[in-house]
Amino acid sequence: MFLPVARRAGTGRREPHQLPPGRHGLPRAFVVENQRERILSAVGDVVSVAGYREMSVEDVIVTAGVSRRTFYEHFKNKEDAFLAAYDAVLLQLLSLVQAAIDTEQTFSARMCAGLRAFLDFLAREPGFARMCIVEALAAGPEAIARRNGAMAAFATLISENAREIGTPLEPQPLTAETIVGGIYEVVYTRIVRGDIRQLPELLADLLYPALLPYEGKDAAVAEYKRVKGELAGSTK
Amino acid sequence: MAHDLELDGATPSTNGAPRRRSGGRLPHQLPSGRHGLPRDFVEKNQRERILRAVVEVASETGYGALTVRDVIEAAGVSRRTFYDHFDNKEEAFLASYHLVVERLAVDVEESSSKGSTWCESILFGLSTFLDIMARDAAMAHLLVVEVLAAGPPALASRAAAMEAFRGFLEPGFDEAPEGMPVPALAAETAIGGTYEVVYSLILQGRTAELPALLPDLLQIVLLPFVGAQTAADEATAARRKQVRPAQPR
Repeated sequence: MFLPVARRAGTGRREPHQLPPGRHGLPRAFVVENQRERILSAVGDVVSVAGYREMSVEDVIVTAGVSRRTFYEHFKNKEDAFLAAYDAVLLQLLSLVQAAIDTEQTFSARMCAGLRAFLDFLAREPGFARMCIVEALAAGPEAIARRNGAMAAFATLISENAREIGTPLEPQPLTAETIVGGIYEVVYTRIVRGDIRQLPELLADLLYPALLPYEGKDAAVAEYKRVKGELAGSTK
Repeated sequence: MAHDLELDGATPSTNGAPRRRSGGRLPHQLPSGRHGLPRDFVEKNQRERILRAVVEVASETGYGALTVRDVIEAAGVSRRTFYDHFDNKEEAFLASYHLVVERLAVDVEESSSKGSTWCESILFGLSTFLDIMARDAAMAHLLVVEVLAAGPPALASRAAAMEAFRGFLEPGFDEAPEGMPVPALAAETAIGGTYEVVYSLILQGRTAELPALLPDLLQIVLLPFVGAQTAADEATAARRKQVRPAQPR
């Protein structure tokens, strides 16, 4: 889990969470974990503002409030740190989605819960959203491979759930990938535009094309109306 | 009509891998110095060679590792000539991308306009799109993969291109059978879904398999607009067309 890191450490000033330099009598493992998490969190902050190409180790260490030496104790270079941050976020995202899915029994309910958890997470963590959805594609071949792996993982989640639970319709194998791709495209363009906080409002519109191939028109329409009603009625 | 990007004889290889140019002057390359040709002819030829070289090199190195040196070597132009046309690699890449998108849009539009129904226009357009990608793996790579790594101006160009292609699906909103709502995002998710599938294959170097996706992709794209039955019927018809022997070119 990520610590709630204060944004912008500033020059030299120490934030409450930041450890005093030098010996502080804390177990090394605690210190190390704390520093690593701060660096990863800072990567998310910096890359979402500066973009991967412009992101520098300097920006990261200033934001994280760690020394350059500390950074290089944990990571080889900015790519290494980026990939670690990406992996950590993806892990968190996948567990949130899985946990949401596990609370439901039907395919529709699971799809809805999983998608809601996904959109809610992105809206809560706009920096990480940008990092994973947009910047990963510009961060080199390893990052691209991670991103593609994540897409495949989500597609498998959909098709496996459909298969295990059983759905009224059995669409072509390509379907799950197109659903993930469709959601990705919508989310991607919103993030590039800066409309991250509004993503959860798109739940019904993104859910419908995901359910249609598996549940058929009537069930998908019913679910669409139900969720649309919920969104309209909810207070933000 | 020959694609201008094929000026240097870059016929697509059968396995989809781009052909690398090494140093030395190639048949199409103009002799250095004064050659008595009209200046704008020479300029146009050079510009197109540079753009084609960007396509070839970027598909091998990726945008990040793309260098002007690689490009001028592949294009057979001098560094000065490159900088006569473009300020930097980003500008050259964008120009390449725009050229590719424009040509693609023209070809897809021409094909799609021959459809006698909206579904048929999507069938023809999608078919042309997949065929062109399959025939030119380097171009497909630039268009679909590399653009995502080429910075904010490239992303803006891509967004504009996606929106333009969404235009083909707009009439689909009027096609829905009674009692079937079509959500506002249907065109976006359909384009995005197609993009992802195409992206996967291109990244894996399997562009030759793109045309075979046509019936399944067609069915998936049409579904939210025309419903399950019509989408399935159109896919079946497309499958039958594929089985028939290809017309001689």
